[in-house]
Amino acid sequence: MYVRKNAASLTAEEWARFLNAIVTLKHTFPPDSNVSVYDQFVAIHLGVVQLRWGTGPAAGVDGAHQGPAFLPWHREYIRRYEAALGAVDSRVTLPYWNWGLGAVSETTALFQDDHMGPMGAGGAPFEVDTGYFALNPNTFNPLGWSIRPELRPLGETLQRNNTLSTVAGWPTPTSVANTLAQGAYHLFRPSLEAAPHHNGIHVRMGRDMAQMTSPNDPIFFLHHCQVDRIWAKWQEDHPGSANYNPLGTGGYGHRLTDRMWPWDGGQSSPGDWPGNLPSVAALVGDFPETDVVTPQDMLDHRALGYCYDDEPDCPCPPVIKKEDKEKVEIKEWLPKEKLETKERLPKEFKEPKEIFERFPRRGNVPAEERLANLEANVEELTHFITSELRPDLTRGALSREEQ
Amino acid sequence: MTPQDEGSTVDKLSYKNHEIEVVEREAEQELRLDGEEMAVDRDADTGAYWSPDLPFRTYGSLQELGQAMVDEGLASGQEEQ
Repeated sequence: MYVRKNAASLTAEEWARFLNAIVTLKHTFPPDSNVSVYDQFVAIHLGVVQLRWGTGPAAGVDGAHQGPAFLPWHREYIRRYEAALGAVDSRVTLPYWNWGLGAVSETTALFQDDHMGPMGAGGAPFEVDTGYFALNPNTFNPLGWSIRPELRPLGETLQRNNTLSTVAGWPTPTSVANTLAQGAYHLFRPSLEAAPHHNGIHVRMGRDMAQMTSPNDPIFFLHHCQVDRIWAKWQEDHPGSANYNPLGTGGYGHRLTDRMWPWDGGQSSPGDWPGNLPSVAALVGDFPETDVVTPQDMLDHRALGYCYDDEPDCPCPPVIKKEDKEKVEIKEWLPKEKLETKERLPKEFKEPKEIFERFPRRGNVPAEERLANLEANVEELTHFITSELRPDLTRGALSREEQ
Repeated sequence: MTPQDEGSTVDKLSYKNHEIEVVEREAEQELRLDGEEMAVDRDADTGAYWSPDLPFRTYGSLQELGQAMVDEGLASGQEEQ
């Protein structure tokens, strides 16, 4: 069992590990692909929308939004993303952005250069111009962060609104409590998906986060981690299959035992979005026919191997601060797949600390040196992530099938 | 396309020099802006209208959604954002 923590509680070193892993995914390419691991995730999110114009049983349906599968689809999606981060650095888990429940200061702290980067600068188009996700290489990220042309409804530079008002219309403990008080899934899910919660955060972030390519902004995953956490809280009182979509609403992919694209054994395929982005089917990588996931598979997050740090009996680990002294204890909460990953790493990469040292934090290290280090690392990572583990989402560490 | 295939107009209004038309065809309602059919869906549980062209927002009626799409520059002939 591994633990997802409140982003506000991460140490500086945990932040550095997390952000370096994200940057590494952005600059790591699976074999025979020119689409980075990170961008494959963006393509998947766009592709599930493009099923609306696609083929197969899910044709005509957005497989992940405004329907019951909103929650299980995103649970699997961010879980695979988290596993990809873990393949880079086994100490990394996905933190959550505690909107609605945490203090405003927690959100303010999130949007700093050394965390998730600032909101958009100046006037339109409100570009993020500093921090890890700025276009131009800088001391945080010597490789820069650019949005891939096929996945770019706006510009090459990540864009966010220039302010994140946390007053009117912001999720509150009361609004979240009202959502959690919904007694049936067909009431709970829309309450969580709609504003001010999930949808509201996307719109408030604005710009790239307000597009169907919203995972271009890495804050997407912290946002959806909070969505998943709130679902997990609701499931404490509403567990199991009987509490998922009892009315059987939604098109193919939304019902309990439907296959969810792209983990559908090749049943469906996205199509071109008229007047918008063309089909990303070619960008998402290949998924083996045995890689099948249904909403039913997603109903117990603990069975998937993780819990949230505020769950009553979730073993919150010592994480980074005691890593050198208590490796055994840390090992206990690493997910099985990550342990397997670690065991199969090339000898020279067995210690996460060594990996981290190849991604020196900002500070006294000159940018040129960091760039050289990071480039060398990315080069080596294509070997470090063995073929069955590469996060192109084929069979391997990201698959839940027996290995 | 025959007249029957084109459906029947349920409502038509002018908004900021654009024509918003709600059409019923095969028991489904469609939204047309300046004669162009827009991508519109309904929430599976609430029935609220939304469009992948205007993500993460829902509206109580197609007329409201149409107005929002005009406001966002999504009608044909409007400059891309």
